[in-house]
Amino acid sequence: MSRSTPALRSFANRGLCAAVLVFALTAANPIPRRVITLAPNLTEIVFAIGAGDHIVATDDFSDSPEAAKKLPKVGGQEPSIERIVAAKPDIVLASASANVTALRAANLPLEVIKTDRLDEVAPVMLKLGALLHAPHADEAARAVRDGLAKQHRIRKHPPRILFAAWNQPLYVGGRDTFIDDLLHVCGAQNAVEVTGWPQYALESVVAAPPDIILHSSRLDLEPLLRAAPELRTKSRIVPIDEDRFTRPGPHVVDAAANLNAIIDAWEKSH
Amino acid sequence: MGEVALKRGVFVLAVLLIAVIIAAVCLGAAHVSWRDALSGDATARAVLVRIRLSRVVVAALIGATLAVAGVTFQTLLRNPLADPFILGVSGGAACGAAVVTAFGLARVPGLVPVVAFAGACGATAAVFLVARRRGRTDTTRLLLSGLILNALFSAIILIAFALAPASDMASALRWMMGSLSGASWSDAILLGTMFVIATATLVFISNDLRMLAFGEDDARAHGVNVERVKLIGFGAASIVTGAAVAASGIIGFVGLLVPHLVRLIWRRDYRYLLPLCALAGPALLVASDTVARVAIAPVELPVGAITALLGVPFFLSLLRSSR
Repeated sequence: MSRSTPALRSFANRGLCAAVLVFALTAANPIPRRVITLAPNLTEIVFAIGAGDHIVATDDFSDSPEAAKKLPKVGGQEPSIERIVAAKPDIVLASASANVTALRAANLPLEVIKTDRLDEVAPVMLKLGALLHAPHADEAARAVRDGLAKQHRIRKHPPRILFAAWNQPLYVGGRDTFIDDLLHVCGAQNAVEVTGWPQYALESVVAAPPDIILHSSRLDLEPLLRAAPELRTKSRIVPIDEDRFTRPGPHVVDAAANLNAIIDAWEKSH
Repeated sequence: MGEVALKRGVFVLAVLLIAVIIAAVCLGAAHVSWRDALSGDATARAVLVRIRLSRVVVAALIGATLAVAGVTFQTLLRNPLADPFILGVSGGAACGAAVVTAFGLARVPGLVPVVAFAGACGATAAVFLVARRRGRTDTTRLLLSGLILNALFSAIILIAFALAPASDMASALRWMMGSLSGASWSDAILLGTMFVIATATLVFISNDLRMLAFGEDDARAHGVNVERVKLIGFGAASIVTGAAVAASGIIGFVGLLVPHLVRLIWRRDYRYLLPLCALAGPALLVASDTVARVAIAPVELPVGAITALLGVPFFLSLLRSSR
């Protein structure tokens, strides 16, 4: 090497530098091979962007897609930190509602992902795509964006829709929530004018009955309807698949399509 | 103080209760008027008669029930800290509701209130069996076994919560937090019947209960069948508490606070306390529930928290000025 020309030396140096740089980058930011997801919508997103085979465990509630059912589970509301650590994850994906303090205390490679709103779904897909070097992140994000654009409606008479989250006492989906975003995409108006997920006055609902009342098919609305039987005739009461309507993930387009079909049917009957 | 003071107290509280009830049925989240309801407007009638008025009546009955049960427990146990929930009544009710929920049966119509009621009565019976020795019921043992059983119930509730499906948790929580939302006329009729029967029973034994307040031996010396009075008193108070919990979940504090409020203002004789509590209890709970409904309408607040917020400052100022 001592007789080599300066040009050659410079070239060799550059190659060495590049090699060192690549090595340093991969060492600092290795491709995560072992992923744990702690929320059903995050599991769905990771599968949708094509990184599902890197998931080594999920929370108990992750039941979709089919392949997620067979994965080892680490617990529900309070996942087992021991099991998570034992699964040797390169990255743990949790939603903002998870027990972040406990996960941080265990020194886990934690990534808290906020997906509370509809317009956060596609950016989260891209972010996780970059983080996990997932092959289909761009397609998945585009599918969500284009799909939602296709489901976007402007209706001449926007129906007032109420989402009943619980029957007794009545809890409803208010403004600035994921369900509120879906209603807006589909050209509907939220019958609830307060924000968040409040306990709500039944008499306000009866005084101004919504055009449509949505409720989870798992929730029996009978106790509420016994207290307010006029809602049976004044409102169209539609049970919906709760998982689809409350998980900000790849199925948001299906939820919007589903909601549009519900509203179209209501418009026809008017 | 005697008959005159009692009559004056009953009059003052009756006027207060009527004023509170009028305010409660006029205030609400929906802007509808009684004039519309009376002139036949169906929506106004539905809101005011079927939803608001029924809720006010149920609140009044639960307030009366808890206050009457509270004053009975305090007299029987001769303990100022006793309230309708200390003997495991609430724990039993909530435990029943939580276990039903954990088994995924919360959606079977009517099952949760029935199990809550059975839990309340079962818990009281269990506490009694534990506390009873050689034909006598020892008050300290009664309180202690109630406290211990409550600890067992909360353990079962915590485990049931951990096992319950997340979507059903709200149902179990309703029993813990207490809520008057969705109260109906059928609740009111059931509660009203139970309240009338229990109160009539308590009035019937009120003279014996008054004697009991001076001590069991004194009462026995005056010819009171102490064990029978205890059994009837506890039985009546527990059954109405169970019915109240089954209708609204656990609304704490009314049973503890109201009898003491009444005692601070009027007097300690059980015969006077009973009617005064039966008027002051509903006034407090109806006022609290009205605040819970209208403070940030149409969002509703937990009624139990409002009861404490309204009652505690009043109670503390009374306690200070009475020293």
